[in-house]
Amino acid sequence: MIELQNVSMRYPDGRGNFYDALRGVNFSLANGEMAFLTGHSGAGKSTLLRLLALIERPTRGQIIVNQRNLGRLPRRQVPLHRRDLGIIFQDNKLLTDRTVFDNVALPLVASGMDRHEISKRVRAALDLVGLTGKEGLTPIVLSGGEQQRAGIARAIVNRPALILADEPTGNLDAKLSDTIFDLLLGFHRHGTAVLVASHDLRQVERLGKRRLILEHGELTGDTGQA
Amino acid sequence: MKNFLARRAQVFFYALGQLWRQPLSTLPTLAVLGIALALPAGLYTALSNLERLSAGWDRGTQISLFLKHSISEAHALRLAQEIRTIHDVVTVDFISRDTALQEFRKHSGFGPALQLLGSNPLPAVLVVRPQANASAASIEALRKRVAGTTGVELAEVDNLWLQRLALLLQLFERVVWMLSVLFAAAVLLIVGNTIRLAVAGRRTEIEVIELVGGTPSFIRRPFLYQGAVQGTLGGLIAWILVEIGLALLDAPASDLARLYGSQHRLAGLGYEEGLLLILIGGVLGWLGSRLAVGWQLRQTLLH
Repeated sequence: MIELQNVSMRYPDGRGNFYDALRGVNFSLANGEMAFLTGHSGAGKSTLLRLLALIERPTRGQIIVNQRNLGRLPRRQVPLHRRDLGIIFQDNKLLTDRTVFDNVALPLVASGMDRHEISKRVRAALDLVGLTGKEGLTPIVLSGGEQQRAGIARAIVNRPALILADEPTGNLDAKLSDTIFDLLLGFHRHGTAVLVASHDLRQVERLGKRRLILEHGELTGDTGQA
Repeated sequence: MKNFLARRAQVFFYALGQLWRQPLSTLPTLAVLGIALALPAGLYTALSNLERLSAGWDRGTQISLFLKHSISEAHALRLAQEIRTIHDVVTVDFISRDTALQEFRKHSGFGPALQLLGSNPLPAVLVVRPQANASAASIEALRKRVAGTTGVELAEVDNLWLQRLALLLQLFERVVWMLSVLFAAAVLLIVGNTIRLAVAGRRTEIEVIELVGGTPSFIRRPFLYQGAVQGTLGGLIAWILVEIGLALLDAPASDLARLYGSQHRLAGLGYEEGLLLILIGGVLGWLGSRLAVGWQLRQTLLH
């Protein structure tokens, strides 16, 4: 599913020097596997997810996702790569001027699916995250937990083989965090690979899944497949 | 195919909705676009009216040779024959002194006054018509040549003012084209800037669409439709402005034309030209947004 070989990411620091956000990272994630990326702020967790979503390309090394070498992927194929991913953000990135239905439907509309199929899939995704009946509302009237679940529905509506989640419960209380992580666990159990960047060690321990530990851009620990 | 069209129709109505939801920014933009398109369209309409007005006038320049009183009619006819042999001359008509007097009596309204004169004061005239496409310089050269002929008192080029008018119309036409190009550039810039701001204002939305797999053309489409709609509406406003302007000017222009014995009425753009104006507005709007969106998305697109 995912294979990283000696991946490094370097940024100019604005003073003529460079800052290494990732240094020689190697790991792989199998189909349907679930893993947590942990580490302190600035350890490189978000950078790693950005590289997997092809928001940036690595300075060095090779990333293979779904048999695609991301370093060599032509620009016009980047949208196709992203359609195979489900991305969940800490701030959910819902569009406040559109309804929950329109937000969740966005990946399907962008991929050119017909309206009947879109309607069917959106309702199924909202049902999975427990938001049936809220499709006509705008995100602004939803609670924080509901907003994050709407973001998750948008991430899974395309039935992706891989879900990337960047601190998905960063803004939520412990109870809501449990709900969100249980949802992610549910997708994993249905065969979707899930990679979660999280500070929340309680959840990591509760779910008992593989843990990849990043420190100062280096992968310093890997508990292996659970 | 049905799905393809339905998706585009959906994006089109979404773009229309975006304009509708922001009347405070949409209306001034449309007004400026309308004015920018109305100015060259109005000048073009004025030019068309002037051309139509002057088209009825004979543009063929002629040279009138006023003969000396001492020249007999037989001599004058020989002179006419001689001038006909000149290469640049098409026809030479002889107007005798008596004919000239009759015509003058008929058209001038001074008939009774002329009867008080003892003799006919008018000279015989040879009317020389050069070739229709002759330049002003060659007509002048011909005038000088025939003016030197024995028996000719005075040689005058008639209808010179018409030639000047034709040249002025040509100059005016060029000015209209130059202004049209400048105003078209203004339309591109206005639409481009509006779309640039729209793209900047929807940066988050663009990022989200990109992250869920939207292609650049999918992201561009609503902005292109928005630009095209703005340009089209700008063209429609321009057409309305031109017609209002013409309606306001028609009565005084007709009064002026009547003073010169003309029945000329101001003509508007007509359906074909009006629709062309709307189409030009739409194309300019689309082009302006295409340029702005292309540039702006290069700054915005993720990777």
